[in-house]
Amino acid sequence: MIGVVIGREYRERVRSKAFILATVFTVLIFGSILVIPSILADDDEPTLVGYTSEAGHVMDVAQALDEVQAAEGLEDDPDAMPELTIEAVVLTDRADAEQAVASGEVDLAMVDASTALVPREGIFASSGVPGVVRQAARVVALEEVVADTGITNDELTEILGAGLIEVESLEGEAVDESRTIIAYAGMMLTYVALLMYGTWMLLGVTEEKSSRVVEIVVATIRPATLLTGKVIGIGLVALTQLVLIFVFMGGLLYAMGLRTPDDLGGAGGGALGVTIDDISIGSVLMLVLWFVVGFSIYNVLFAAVGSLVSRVEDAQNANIPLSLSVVGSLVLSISTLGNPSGTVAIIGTYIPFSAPFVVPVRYALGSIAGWEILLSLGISLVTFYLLTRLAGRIYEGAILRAGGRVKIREAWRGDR
Amino acid sequence: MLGFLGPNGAGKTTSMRAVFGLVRLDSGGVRWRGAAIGEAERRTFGYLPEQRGLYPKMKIGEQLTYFARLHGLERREAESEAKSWLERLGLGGRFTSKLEELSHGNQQRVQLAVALIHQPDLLVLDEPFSGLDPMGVDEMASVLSEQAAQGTAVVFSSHQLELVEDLCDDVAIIASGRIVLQGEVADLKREAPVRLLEVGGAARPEALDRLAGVHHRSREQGHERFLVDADTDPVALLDALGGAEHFAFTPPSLEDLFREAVGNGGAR
Repeated sequence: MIGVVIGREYRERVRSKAFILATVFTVLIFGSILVIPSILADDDEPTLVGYTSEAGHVMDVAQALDEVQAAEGLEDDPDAMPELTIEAVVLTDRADAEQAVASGEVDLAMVDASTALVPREGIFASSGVPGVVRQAARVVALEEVVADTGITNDELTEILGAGLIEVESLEGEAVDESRTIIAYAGMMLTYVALLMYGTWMLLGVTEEKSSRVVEIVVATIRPATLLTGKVIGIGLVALTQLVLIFVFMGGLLYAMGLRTPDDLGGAGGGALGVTIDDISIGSVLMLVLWFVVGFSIYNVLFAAVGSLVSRVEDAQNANIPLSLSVVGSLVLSISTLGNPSGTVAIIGTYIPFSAPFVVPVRYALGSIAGWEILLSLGISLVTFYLLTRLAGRIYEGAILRAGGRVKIREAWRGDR
Repeated sequence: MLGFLGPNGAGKTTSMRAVFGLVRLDSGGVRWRGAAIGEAERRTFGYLPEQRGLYPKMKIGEQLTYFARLHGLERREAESEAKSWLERLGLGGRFTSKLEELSHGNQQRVQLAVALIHQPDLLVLDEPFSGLDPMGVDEMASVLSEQAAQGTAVVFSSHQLELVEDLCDDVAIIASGRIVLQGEVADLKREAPVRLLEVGGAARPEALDRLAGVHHRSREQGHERFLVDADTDPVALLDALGGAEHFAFTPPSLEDLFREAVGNGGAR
């Protein structure tokens, strides 16, 4: 019989406008978080630098520097190279250069070794000229100074082009930005889904009570069967939505990854610094696992609250303590995001109401030990078991009591 | 078919809900075919509660299918039963209408179908006739008769005693939570300690007031009505009246029995 209840909850809700809209909106919001920055930062097109013969040597050096830096892998490092590929366009003289800049044929023209022509000031952020061209001009200036010392131009280019400083840290790698983004996205997803499906559960129970249909249902099956069926049914709806979102996001990241296969520095997910490799299967599984745990714990409670009131209008009020608990857990996990091994994070790990938020965040940030996850999971499961007994009894005691709000104590005693 | 009668507040609804485990009993128990009722038995029961209610936003065809399946029907069987019930109720084209889109009368029909769709062994209906128009009453009566004829045990409560008298073989009357009268309607009437005397156009109607064993007097549609002891000789009554145009000496109606039983029940 429980299968029939699960089936009804699932079918009725997956087909509902609310579900379809919520799924589409979530996908749109998360999708645009990924896509919009990459569109804004879409610098796939090379910077076109025109030059006259007078600046010819500078551009040769610039291109040589560019190659050296590419070989060093410094192009991915925004501190070293904020600009992208340079494409050089040969111009005849200053007049030609002015015309080319004005018409937009080139972004910038080197009239001679020390003069750059731009359409208006402030286009290139700091210097007015791409860094690599600026560096090239320095190299050219140095060439004359070191001409007598026996240092060749190639050596000079090599030295100036290379990133000479190797960084060694005392505490290993800093928290990866992409991991923070994944942790944040997972946290928000958990928050939105828990509140949304919790509300569905709450209103679903209240509606059954206010429409009196629960009387016929419970005349046939036990209240516990109805309650369990509802929790599982709505849970499956939530999981369906999560899977849809993950599949869509995965596809999106994959597609963006394909666009620039060997360099995500500027395009695709790279704009946020997230690639499909970063979103590990582990993080997703951890998120799903803890979503199931959190969903189960919260929704049994939402159902109990829903059974206490007879009217949908009263349900939202009765729900305030539970919603606050969800919001509080979110706040804890935001704090965890900033300090994943701090006291707040550790406390949050062992409170079963906040663990579903905090543990996946700490996992995504790589700052939780296996035993901590297991201990937290154990505490949560024991809590869940106790809550089903507690909330189940309240639900059974309250679901058939019509009129007004049922006091928890009355529901507990079960005087119908 | 059993008519379950009693004044308001006597405990009819509570008793019916007890059959489905919807109330916790302080004492006593509900037995079906000699055994306590469990989930398996309830699956073979059909219930029309006093407070009607289904899922307002669910399509009625799916709603019927759902309740049929809750009562143990397979999906396909449940769907075909749902279809045929909707046809029967004149809602054949509305399988995909939501309940809230139907008129009040049609919602009542769907509610009845929910109680019947799984061919219950026991059908319990709390005030099935309340709120129905005369055609609705006839329809409900014919459905209940048909169910009873198929061998379903039908129990319903009602305040429309004439209807109960027409439909039911058996009645049980309760007051203050206790049965005060039960049995076959025909037996109850025959065994009643009083008879109904109706007189019209009598020469000396006031003569009856002086006779022992004559209890109650009222006027109805030009006829004088009396309740007299069952062992009174009708011929002696007719003699005392000095002849009459209309003289009927009959067993009391169910309504008279009801008043008698409940009145006594209250006095005890």
